[in-house]
Amino acid sequence: MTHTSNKAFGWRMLLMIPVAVMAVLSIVATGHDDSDNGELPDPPEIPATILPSYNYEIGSQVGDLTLNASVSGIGSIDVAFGDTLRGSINLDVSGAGEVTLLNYVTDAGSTLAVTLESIALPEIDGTYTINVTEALSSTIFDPPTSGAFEVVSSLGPSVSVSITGTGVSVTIPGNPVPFEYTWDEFMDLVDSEDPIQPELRAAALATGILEFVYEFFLNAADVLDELEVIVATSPVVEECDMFMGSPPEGALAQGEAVVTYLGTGDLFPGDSFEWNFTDCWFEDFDELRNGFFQLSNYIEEVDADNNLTRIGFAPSGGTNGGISFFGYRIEETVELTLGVYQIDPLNVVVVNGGFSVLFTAP
Amino acid sequence: MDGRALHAPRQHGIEPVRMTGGKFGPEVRLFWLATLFLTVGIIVYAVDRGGAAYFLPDWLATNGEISIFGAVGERLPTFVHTLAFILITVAVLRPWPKRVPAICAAWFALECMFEIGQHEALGQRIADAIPGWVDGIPMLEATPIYFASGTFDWLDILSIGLGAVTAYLLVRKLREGGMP
Repeated sequence: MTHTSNKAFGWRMLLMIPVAVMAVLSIVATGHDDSDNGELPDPPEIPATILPSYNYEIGSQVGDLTLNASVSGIGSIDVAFGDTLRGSINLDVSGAGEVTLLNYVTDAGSTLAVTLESIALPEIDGTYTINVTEALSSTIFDPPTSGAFEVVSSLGPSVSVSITGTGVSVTIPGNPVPFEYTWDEFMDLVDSEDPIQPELRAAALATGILEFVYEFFLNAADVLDELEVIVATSPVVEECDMFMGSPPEGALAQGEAVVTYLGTGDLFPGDSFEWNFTDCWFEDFDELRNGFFQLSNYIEEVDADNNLTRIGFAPSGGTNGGISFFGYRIEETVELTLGVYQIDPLNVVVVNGGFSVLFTAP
Repeated sequence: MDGRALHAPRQHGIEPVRMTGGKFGPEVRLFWLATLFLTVGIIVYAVDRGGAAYFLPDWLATNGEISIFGAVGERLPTFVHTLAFILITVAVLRPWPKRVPAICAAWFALECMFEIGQHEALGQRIADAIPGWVDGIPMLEATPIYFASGTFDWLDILSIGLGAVTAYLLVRKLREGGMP
């Protein structure tokens, strides 16, 4: 064994300094470089914090484009978002950032104007304005559980609708006793063959339109936390329910829905998405859907604390945005005999135009 | 290593070192071995991982479609890095063979610290705590991204341990004259 002095040991220990530095640097330099150009990659994007509650606005698109629904059994319905529908929505956000919509409130003061040109029901032709007089509370995809609104029409006196524990209580001036209905009974008044006061039928129709708007509003809200996934996997093709027997004439036994990201690269404000339906049957709702709608001009803002403060699809800087329908067709299917289906020609709705949806931090 | 060491008595608590010299000294052999192992690590990053590492120049990167090491390549870098730096340290500090277990343990601890630093509970915090002046300093500027985007894996800890044990056994084998 060669004799080695402590002095030599000291020098060798000094040599360990560059060795240790080299080791540490070679460890940290294994960081991933996705840019593939030898430069330091951007720091990973930290998902913004989704707050448990947001305010929302459902409003017009650029140029006050309206939402139009052509309903085969009724006529043409135009919906104008006057002072907009406003309110708040509560969410449940999981640790993984998955969002579940819980319930929402439509604020008092919200309005929605409906103009009807009816062929089948000329007695209710006219313009109706829904004014929310008492905040409407609803759980997701269910009828409201409390609140009140009035339907002001050109037909005559305003109809007041109060939400009760069992449905609605409808008051028409001149009628001493309010009409009591469950929510479904109230909606069915639209095409009821019973003799009904026109104001009552018109109120039911306007309320049905409100429900229709909220259905798409909630669908849009529900998909917001999935946009990143859609961007990464676009186009996403989903098979719809299958007609196990005989589908309606001309329809496929099993159609599909295709969700396409219309941008390039990562999700950025201004991006758009398209939902395209081909003979897409929803068995639970007895609905066959065709055509497409777009969610355009994505809006997203995050504050300095990484809280998501604004998100939705709406016009901005002169660019139109929102949910826009392009001949989107909803047909009710009827099972004639076991497994044999056809379209109910009186229940075909074709939707065009659209509205904007925007959520902002309270 | 000179021949005297082969017959040197045990004294002053220092064990005799019996590494065979050959044409090159044992330090050089240890360095060559370390270089070989580090090269394997670089190949993993350049080929199996398609060049997904800060330290690799563009020309060395591939598209990642070829896999030389297969599933083993997932753990190989931590294994060879630990192994290589233990060999380098033994070579630098030679001849103090009694320190080899301590050297192995020290490198195991250091490598584990960096691996644990990638844990999701720590990585972003460490990255945030790194001062901004590291930006622009070659290699060092990669530190925040290493902690923020890296992934902690128990199997990496295991491969670090295997690297340390392998290094110890290899050094012992070398001392006993079984130079590969």
